[in-house]
Amino acid sequence: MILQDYIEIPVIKNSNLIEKIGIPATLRVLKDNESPKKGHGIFRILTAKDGDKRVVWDSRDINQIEDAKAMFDECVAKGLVPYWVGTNGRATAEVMDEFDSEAEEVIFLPIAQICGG
Amino acid sequence: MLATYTSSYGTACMENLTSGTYNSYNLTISRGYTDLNIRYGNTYPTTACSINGLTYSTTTSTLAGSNIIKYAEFYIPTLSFKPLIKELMHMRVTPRIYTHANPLGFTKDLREIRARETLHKVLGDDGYKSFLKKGFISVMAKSGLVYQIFPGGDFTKVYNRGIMIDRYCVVLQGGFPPTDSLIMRYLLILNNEKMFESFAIKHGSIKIDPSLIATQDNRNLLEIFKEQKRQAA
Repeated sequence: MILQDYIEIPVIKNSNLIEKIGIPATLRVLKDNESPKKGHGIFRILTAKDGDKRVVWDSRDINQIEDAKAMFDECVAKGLVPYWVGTNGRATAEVMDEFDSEAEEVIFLPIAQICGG
Repeated sequence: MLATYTSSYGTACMENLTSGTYNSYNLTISRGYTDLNIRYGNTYPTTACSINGLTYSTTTSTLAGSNIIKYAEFYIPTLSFKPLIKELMHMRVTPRIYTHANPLGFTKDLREIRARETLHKVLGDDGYKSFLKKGFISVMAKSGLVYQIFPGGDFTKVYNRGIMIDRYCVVLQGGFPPTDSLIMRYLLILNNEKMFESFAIKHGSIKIDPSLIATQDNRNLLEIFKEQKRQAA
């Protein structure tokens, strides 16, 4: 799989240990003020560096779905928790156990970075 | 614990801060039934200052290397006759309901803008507008408890049937934009309240000494007018 970029995420609480998650070349990183097109799924990965890194894939393209699944698995393996979020005010949030190409919005939370204050 | 000073008209109170680092804190000054919320940034004023016509002074002391406010004194000037009656009439027109907290301001930080876009998508148009206006979101968890979530490092307030029962502090380490922290709390509360609770450091609810709450003046305006006139004579 050819990669276009990396997302850096800390993996252990209270440490500077950084893991890199590759963004496949077939997927697209959304620019600012750009909205995903209809029929596209989106990963929103919360990072301190970017706020949210937004990666979109076309849910009608099998290659993009495969790469999105690979990226999803990598994110989960490196400690991010994917939430399937109800959009437009529908207050739901379920953890996605497996990648679902029908998912419109998936938000990845860096659980390792959560702590009491 | 609350530090307070009661003037001839109105009561002022504030949270008594303990040693530690605070990004901000809220100060509530009550005049009769009207509350003025004053929010300070990263620094505490160490000398007397005047805000919105109210005089505020504080005393700081150094403890364990941190400046903490031991107590604060407030002086609310007594209003002259005309503004007093005007204020009383204004207060009696509407019930005392809090409608706003701290509205969110404009930001140039691209990370924060992106985080707000994500929140907009999650909350929908109405929820997001409400968030911009109030500066917080309220969400009811499966347990029936209502969580009032603020961006950044502010406490998440927990309400049970309208009564605050606790304040939780859960944050994202590592310099995340404030709205990202809010998204994290929102998702955790909706999905796994127990997990959210396990991360939280509990600070307890704010307990206000009933003796410090300003008493409501139930006299009618005519009686107040007569008394003022008698005092002026």
